[in-house]
Amino acid sequence: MRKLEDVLQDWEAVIGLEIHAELTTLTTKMFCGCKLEFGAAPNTHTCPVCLGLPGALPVPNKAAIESIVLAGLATNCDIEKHSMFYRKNYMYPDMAKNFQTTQGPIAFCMRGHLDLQVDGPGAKERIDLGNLKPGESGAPGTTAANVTRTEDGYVAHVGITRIHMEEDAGKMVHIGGDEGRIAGATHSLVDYNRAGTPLIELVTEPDLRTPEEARLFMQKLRQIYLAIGISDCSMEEGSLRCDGNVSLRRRGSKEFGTKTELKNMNSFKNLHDGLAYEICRQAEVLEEGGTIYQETRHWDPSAKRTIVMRVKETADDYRLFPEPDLAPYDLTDEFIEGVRAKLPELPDQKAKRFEETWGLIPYDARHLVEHRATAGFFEQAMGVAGKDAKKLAKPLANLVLNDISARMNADASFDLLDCPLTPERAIELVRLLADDAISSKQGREVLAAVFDEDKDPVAIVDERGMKQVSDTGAIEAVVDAVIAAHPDEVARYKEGNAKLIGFFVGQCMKEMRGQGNPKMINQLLAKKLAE
Amino acid sequence: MTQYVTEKDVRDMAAYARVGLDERELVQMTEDLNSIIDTLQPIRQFNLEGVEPTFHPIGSLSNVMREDEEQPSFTQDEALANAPKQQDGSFLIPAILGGGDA
Repeated sequence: MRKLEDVLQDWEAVIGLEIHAELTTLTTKMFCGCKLEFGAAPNTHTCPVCLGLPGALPVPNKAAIESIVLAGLATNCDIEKHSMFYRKNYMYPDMAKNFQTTQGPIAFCMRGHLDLQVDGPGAKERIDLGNLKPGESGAPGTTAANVTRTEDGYVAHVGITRIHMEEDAGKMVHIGGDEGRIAGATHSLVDYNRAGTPLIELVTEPDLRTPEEARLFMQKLRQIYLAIGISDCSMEEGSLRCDGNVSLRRRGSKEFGTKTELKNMNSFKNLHDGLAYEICRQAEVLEEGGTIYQETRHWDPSAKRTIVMRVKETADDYRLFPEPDLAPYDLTDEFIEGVRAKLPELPDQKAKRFEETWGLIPYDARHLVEHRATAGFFEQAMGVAGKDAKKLAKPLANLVLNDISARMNADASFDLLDCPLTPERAIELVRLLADDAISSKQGREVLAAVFDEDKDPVAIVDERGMKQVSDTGAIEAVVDAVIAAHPDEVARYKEGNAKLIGFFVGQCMKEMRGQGNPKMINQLLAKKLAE
Repeated sequence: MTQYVTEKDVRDMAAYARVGLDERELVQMTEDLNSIIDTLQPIRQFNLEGVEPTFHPIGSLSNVMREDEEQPSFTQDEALANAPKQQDGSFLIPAILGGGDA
């Protein structure tokens, strides 16, 4: 199979996502007062409504309706005042009442969008930006019409078709087959605790063009849902789930190809890798003259391939009709404005504020707000930085995005907001670095010591005698001595062997027992050797 | 009486809805459905272009919601009381794919 980068030269991938989020921060289910709880003993949170017993009547959870309106407002959707619930009929044991309550043609939230900032290596998956200059957008009608070039990548404008309200199904365990698979199972066990869990489904327009864009969309949506507090968005526990629709068309072609639906992409990496594999697989089939069938495929991360789950021969007939047991909605302005008042600062707004308040570059600001912990920590530290906050913002951002993020990635239980590195200590460390009192290498040593010994950075520097010599006079004396002691190297350097600068820096550092400021040594050496 | 739905239509609908009908019931149900549809025919004399269907029997009702407050649930035993078979606190159901032949 060809590589993604090669395939995307010849083919344009058209990707749409369907993202389900369980409203896990609520207390009760969508249509009954049963408690929401992950991991409880089976069938301990059920009642006549969520078991589908005859005559049981559902009553919608007001907080769930508020949550979906909040999600719509946070993703630039129009809030539809008039909408209603529908029954989506299907016979499957995970839903005892034989239909899922969902919404029809009109959902609570319609016609939204998100803008994705794409940069780094992932931006290279997009190959149709041609000669666009920063600030320029693709011409209307071209494949890059929804894209604006930036200094270090591009912004993709991605449409959201709708977000509708529905309910989750129960959980099934299949017994007797291989690895719990349904095929070969002799019987199954059903637990209805999850049945009736409030679920919102967001459907994007087919505006995504690369696996990286799909990954970033999911990541951004997760940040927004976490910021507005409607779900814990755990991809492992399945409270945030993503299906992808993907088809290919030849570069330049306007017609859509046949799409496949991809399931089981339960992490950001799986979402990217599953889509990347499927794009390459489809390209191979098409290039060999084969046909893509409209089918549902399952991403197997360990085998790194997608396998067919089922072929859709005809569109499923769910006999969707208005749910007669639930009254329609005519949301009032008062209700919608009441929800709008609860809208917190969103990640994009926070990043903008970080840029404006402390002069951060957009890249740093955007990555700081990716996690609530890093954003909160940065803000607290800036709060104690006093009047040189602006000066310390960049080195603090570097500390958080490089060293601290690495620690967070390596250890899932690490809690930045409750660890030996307090915001005060972070500022103390950053100030030592900004003042050139210690080198960046020493900075990493001090940081490690703060975590290991739970002491202040200044105390650690004093104890270890780490203070970096940044006194120009002292450094100049050493630089002069080193130059005088190595006339041969000086001659070779002047003949064009520029690499020798490293040798001189090394000699100076040796003289100063590693405590000389390397930046100053470098500058002084370059100046003196040019004389 | 006008034949709006055939016995085949009714048989298909019954299969869809998982309702078991024997031949006698099928004939009766077809007759009943045609009679019901016939009763509703007069509605066709009105021009209903652009009129929103009545989705709910109580027309003026809207925005019915409850507060997000926990109510007592069934105990596990109560939940499983009607289950023909159970195991480990769960409903035990037959193989979904008919004997494991996927």
